Amino acid sequence: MAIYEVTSTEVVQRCGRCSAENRIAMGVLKVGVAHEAQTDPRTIPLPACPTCASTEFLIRSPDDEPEYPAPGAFGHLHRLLVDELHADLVKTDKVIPALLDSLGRADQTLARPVAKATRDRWFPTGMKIERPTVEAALEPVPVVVEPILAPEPELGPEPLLEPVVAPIEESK
Amino acid sequence: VNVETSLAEVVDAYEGDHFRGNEANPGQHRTIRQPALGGSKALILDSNASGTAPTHLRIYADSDSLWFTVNASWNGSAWARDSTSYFSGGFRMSRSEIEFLHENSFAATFTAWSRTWRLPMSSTTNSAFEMSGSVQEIGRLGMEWTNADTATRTLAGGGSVTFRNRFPATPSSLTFSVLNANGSFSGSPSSYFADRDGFGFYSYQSMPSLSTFWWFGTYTAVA
Repeated sequence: MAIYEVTSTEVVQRCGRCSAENRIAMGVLKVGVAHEAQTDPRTIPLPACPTCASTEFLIRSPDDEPEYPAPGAFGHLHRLLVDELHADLVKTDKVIPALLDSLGRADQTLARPVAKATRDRWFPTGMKIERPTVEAALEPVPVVVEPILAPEPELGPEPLLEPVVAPIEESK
Repeated sequence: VNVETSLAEVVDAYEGDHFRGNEANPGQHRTIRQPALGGSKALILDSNASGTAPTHLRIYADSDSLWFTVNASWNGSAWARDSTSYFSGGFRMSRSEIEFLHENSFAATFTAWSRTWRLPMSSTTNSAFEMSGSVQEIGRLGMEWTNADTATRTLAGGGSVTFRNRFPATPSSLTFSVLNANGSFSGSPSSYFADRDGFGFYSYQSMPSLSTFWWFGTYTAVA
């Protein structure tokens, strides 16, 4: 589903299908997906989940992406985390061969590192996202409410004790 | 002073837009009318009929929109929870758009709703909700193709997916999970050039002659 933490040695991922927590060594990650003669340099494929074989692709934000509309939301923090991971990998030339130059170096303009001020604001204790609040939601506190009494049913006509039988006309 | 005339004036004042005591439904409202109330958001209705914060309903009006909220009141500069044990929710409607609102931080006050779904009725592109906040969507994707040659070939299959709603931004994560694939299918499809509206996917497979490969599964997108 998403990654929650990036350290200098590993990425912590929670699988979107089976919820397994996977710790992925930084050394196995590479930026880029090759497609015929083209490449997508914004994508980081993660290894398949060892539990359910689901495969996650992290995508760094486009160069012309506007500011995230809800700063501080999980989607915003996850985007920053992915951008920073992508920049770290590019900086250390961990990209697919198609993205390396003849000297074996990655084009550093591929990276979109997070500004220090942004990092300090949203990740003051390191590149880690707390679990979404929706998962930490409190169970609703039961509240005792006086029952709302149903209105008294309207009274209909008094039940007839005996069927009304039309009088039989006497035959003439 | 004519006492009867004065009493009649008082009764007439209270009678305004109400049924009189000698009419059916005595004391109940006719049309509810309000003059301009002022403020950044004028409180039209405040109903705590259930006696519980989760359904404490308020209706506000500002210069552009009507706001219907539960567990959230406007204090002049921010939304304030009635109870910090519950989420807040609501919706906002105007002449040009309608927006559903959700706030899940449990903060005592907040200025921005953490998740919104806005239908831009007056925009040129107006067929889907535009979302903001933490978004996760699960949907389906799949492909099937055949090697019609009489020799083993590496062939590509692929397609494209459109999200149900417009995401607030390009997703930062896409996860593919298989539901059903042929036994020889190797690996997983790859994503390609995702944006806020969808993504492409493809896979190269080495296929024996006259064989058919398929992969059907789900995607989970986070934006």
